[in-house]
Amino acid sequence: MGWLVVLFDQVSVQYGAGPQILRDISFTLAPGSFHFLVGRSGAGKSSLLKLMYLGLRPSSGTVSLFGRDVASLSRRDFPAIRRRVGVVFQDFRLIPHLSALDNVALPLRVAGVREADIRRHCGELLSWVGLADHLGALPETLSGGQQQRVAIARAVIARPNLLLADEPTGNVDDVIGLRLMYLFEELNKLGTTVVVATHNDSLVSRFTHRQLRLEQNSLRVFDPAQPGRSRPAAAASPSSPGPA
Amino acid sequence: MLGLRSDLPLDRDAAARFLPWILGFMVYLAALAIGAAMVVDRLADRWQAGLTGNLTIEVPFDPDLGVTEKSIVIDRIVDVLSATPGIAGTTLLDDREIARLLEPWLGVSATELDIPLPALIAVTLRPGVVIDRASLQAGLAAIHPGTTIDDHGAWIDDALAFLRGLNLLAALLTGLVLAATTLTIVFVTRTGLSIHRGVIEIVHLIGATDSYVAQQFQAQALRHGLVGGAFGTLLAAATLLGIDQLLKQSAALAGALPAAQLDGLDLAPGMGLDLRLLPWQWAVLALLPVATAFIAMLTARWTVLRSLARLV
Ligand SMILES: Nc1ncnc2c1ncn2[C@@H]1O[C@H](COP(=O)(O)OP(=O)(O)OP(=O)(O)O)[C@@H](O)[C@H]1O
Ligand SMILES: [Mg+2]
Repeated sequence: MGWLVVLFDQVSVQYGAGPQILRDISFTLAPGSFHFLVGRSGAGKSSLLKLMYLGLRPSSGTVSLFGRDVASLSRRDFPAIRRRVGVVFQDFRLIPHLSALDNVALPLRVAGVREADIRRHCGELLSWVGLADHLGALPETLSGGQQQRVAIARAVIARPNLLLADEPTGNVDDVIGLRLMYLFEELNKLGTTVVVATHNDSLVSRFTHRQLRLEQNSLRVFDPAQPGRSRPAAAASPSSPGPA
Repeated sequence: MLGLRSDLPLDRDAAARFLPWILGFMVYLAALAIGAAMVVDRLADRWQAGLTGNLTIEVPFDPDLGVTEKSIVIDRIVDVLSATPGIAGTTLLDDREIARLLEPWLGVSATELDIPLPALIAVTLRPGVVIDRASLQAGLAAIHPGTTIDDHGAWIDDALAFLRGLNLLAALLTGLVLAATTLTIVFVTRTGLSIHRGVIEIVHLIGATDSYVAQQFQAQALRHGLVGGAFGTLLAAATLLGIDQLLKQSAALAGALPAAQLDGLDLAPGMGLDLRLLPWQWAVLALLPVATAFIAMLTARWTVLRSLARLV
């Protein structure tokens, strides 16, 4: 691979004059990799994801997405990058007056996909996540878990290069949770780089994906395949994803 | 993208709901002003055409001059006029006709007052002809001293200056309406942007360009511009036609002149009060809703793009 999907080099984040949330974080995500992002509540998982969808600029350090230094991007460049990134927000961020179908359709409409294709694709995907009977439902009439599945469908509908899922199984039972994880794995097999933030340890332990662990504002990469070799994430280097 | 589908519920905003009404009112005012300006233009054209194609020769007579002497003088003057190149025809207004023209000013018939009346000869010029006034004047005065030529020049200049003033007023009013319309749309668009800040942020995060967001506002402005514009223009057209009708009816009722005679330029040019517009002028008015919609759309787009660019 000539380029990395994500590269963090000595990244720190601080909200206003508040405490440092992330300190000197360096890691890379290779194309097609799958990572869990774990850490206690308030550790900074959502903040880390924000950096990866241009929702937050680092206080210091370098963030590169798809080989481009974020600091060098202008507002005009944002849409093209964001269209390559699918995000499941922790608080869903569904658009309240749009139906489930229209919410899911948004990334396609924004990208100018034909209306006929949009309806078919979105209907199929919503059926797949078990919402076939709720295509026209407004978000407020859906349960928390149903809203979460709409949010997931919206994040994956456009086959992003990078999928960032923030606590995507927090509101569903284990059966549905696993089904959603399989959806992410399917997408990953098709080439999407996936990051799933969660504090559901039992879910994480069912898989052998590498883990980005946020502890005390720092990041460590843990590889379950080589449990002894948990190590602090060194300065970014293309070799950090490990054996391919 | 005519707003068949929208990601923002803009139509539910209170300010936006009033927009068609406000735009309708604005367009109504503008259409009246533009319509009035066009009526005035036509009047000016017709007055000028009617009057520049005409001269009036006034031949004053001594009260004691006999009828035969008078007619000899008049015949000789008419002969000279007829021999002058560029003159298409002459009409001698008889005493009764002159008396009728003077009656509104004198209150009674001039014949009853027994005052000396000049002879008036209406001269029609060939279109586009400029005659040598000075030499004609000299020739006529040689036949009968005191004979004068009136080409209505001073009167035309005054009337045209007045009409130009009216046109300027109409242009000013249209300009003000345009400014008010633009400001209203800027205000409504800004309000919409701030109400829907949250949704716009989500749409941005999903990868929407500023232009995509602007399209939503544009579509709404376009729709409101068309509806409000059509409404205002129709109402203005009805008003113009209504006033025209009223004027004709009251003129006909007053019996001053038959209504039919009001249409063209009559002996008294000021009476040619025709408010009807030509087909092309109606077409200009019919374009107003389209123009309004277009201006509304561009203003909305410009406002959105400018506001979003400031978001960093
Ligand atoms: N917009 C913000 N302004 C100020 N402080 C913030 C903001 N967002 C997050 N923080 C702070 O940053 C820290 C990390 O928050 P973040 O949401 O990244 O944690 P998290 O790991 O996602 O937690 P959780 O598991 O509960 O979602 C918290 O202490 C929080 O108070
Ligand atoms: Mg979080």
